[in-house]
Amino acid sequence: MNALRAIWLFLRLRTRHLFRVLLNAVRTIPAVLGFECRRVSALPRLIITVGLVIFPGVLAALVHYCGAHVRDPEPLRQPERWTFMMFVLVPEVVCLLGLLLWATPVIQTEVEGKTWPYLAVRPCGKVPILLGKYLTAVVWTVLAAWLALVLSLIVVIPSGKAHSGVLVLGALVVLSALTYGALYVLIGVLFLRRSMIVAVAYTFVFEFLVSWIPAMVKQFTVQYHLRNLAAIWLPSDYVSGFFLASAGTAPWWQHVLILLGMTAVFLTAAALVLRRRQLITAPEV
Amino acid sequence: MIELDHVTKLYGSVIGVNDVTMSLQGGAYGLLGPNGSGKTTLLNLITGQLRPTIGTVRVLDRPPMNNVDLFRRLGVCPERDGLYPGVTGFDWVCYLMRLHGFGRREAVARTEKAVELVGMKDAMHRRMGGYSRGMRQRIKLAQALAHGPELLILDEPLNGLDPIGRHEMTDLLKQWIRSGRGLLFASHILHEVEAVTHSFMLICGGRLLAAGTSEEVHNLLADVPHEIRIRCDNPPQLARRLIDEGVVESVRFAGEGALILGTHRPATVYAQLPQWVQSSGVRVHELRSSDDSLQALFNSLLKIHRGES
Repeated sequence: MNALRAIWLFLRLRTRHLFRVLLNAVRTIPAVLGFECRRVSALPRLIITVGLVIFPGVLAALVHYCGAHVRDPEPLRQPERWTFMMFVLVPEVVCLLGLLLWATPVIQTEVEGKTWPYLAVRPCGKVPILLGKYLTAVVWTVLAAWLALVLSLIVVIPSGKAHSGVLVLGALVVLSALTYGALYVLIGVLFLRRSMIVAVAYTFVFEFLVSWIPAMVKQFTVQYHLRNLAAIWLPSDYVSGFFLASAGTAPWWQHVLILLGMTAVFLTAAALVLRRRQLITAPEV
Repeated sequence: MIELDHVTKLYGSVIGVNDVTMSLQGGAYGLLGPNGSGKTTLLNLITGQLRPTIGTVRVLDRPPMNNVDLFRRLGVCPERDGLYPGVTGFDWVCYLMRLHGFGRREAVARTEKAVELVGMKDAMHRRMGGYSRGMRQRIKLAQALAHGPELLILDEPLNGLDPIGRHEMTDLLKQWIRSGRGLLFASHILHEVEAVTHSFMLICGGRLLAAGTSEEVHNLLADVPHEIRIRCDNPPQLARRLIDEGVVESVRFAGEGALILGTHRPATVYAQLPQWVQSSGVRVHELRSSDDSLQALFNSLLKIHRGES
């Protein structure tokens, strides 16, 4: 009886302690987000952001105005073409580029900048920093992608229910940034050196090749779920063969749940790996 | 305060720390060793940034790796200047206080107090990229002190400070010790450590060679021959004379006209050497006591450690 009481007491104390630690960590994440957003609002990042914002619009303008001919005077006015191009450019290219640059090296930059030893000895250090920096990368990427979408819309407005198409792509941007951001953060924690190369290789092999394989394995890619969501959510005249080619029968909420589940798994794995790793820079060794 | 039990840290096949066992009670300790001796590795083990390959580490009765409760009680000032150049000193210290779990208002109050304590109030709103080496050292110390730790761990904290800065920092650390809190202070300069504390540990080649007060270490060295290096135009002639006099235990030819003597009677050698040199007709270009350098002290201790002396 006494032993049971002791175990109960221990578990109560342990749970309370863990709860306190978690609460502190959650309280710290906004502080990291605020600090990182202020810190990274520097000129180099702003230049990259401007580049990411304008290049889909520039490409859309080139295709629409320079690609026009007699039989097809306004190529991107056709909704399914516009959606296809914007889906490839915004939730894919803009999000992936932004996250590659900002999410993959979240820990590497701290280690190389020798700032890690100052952060790692804080009670709310490692994991809140990881999550705060992840959120910073996601926020910047989503904002850049949304602006890119709006700018593209200014260049050419597709016929039909344009607002529905834009809203769907805007939602896909958020899901894409959350999931790919978590994936790249995990890659960045696993491979401190050359993490970007690994992330690019992974994206090409798994997201752009495996996601098209007509087998179960494609369901483990983010692309597959994003394409399915686009096929389900977009108005019928906005859906091209690109989205239908590998479409499944699962309802939209299942795809959303899988993407959010992937995000949670990737971030948890990254946090666990980070807690285990000994990140001391070479000269100190 | 700090307990290490047969701690070894390997980086692949390279030994960072080699079988270190020590138990430090509360107080102030200096960790003295030449560059590359394993001081930083030892401090990284104590602050939980490295996991020992063999052995156990306990700090304030807790294992340090990922220990949230311990980190609240620990103030760490690493050797490296890992400061964000575009961020002000105030914002940085305040951010680190937020990582301690303090709310915004509490973090600001603690930052202001710590920054004032290290004499950086006037420059705290300047970007750290424009700080001098001394200012960086001060702001680093501020982040280690701001949360009011019980144990302060400093790695080469006086590097880059001017004499006035050193004096002020030394006073600050002495004040810290007087308040009854713990201090572990690593340096490769003997007088820096002696100015702050008289309890020190000597580390070299990843091994803890000696620990105790400066007197105890000097006693330990009493049996070690004193080394004198002489550069002259005829080393064999001078060596023969010194051996004939029976005052040296060893004689080594170091090349380029240099002769290294080992003696237990340095006072006699120094007193008689001019006469012996004159009568032998040898011209001496340089005479230096090797024991002045810290490395000689460590070499002697290493010999004791290996059982060579």
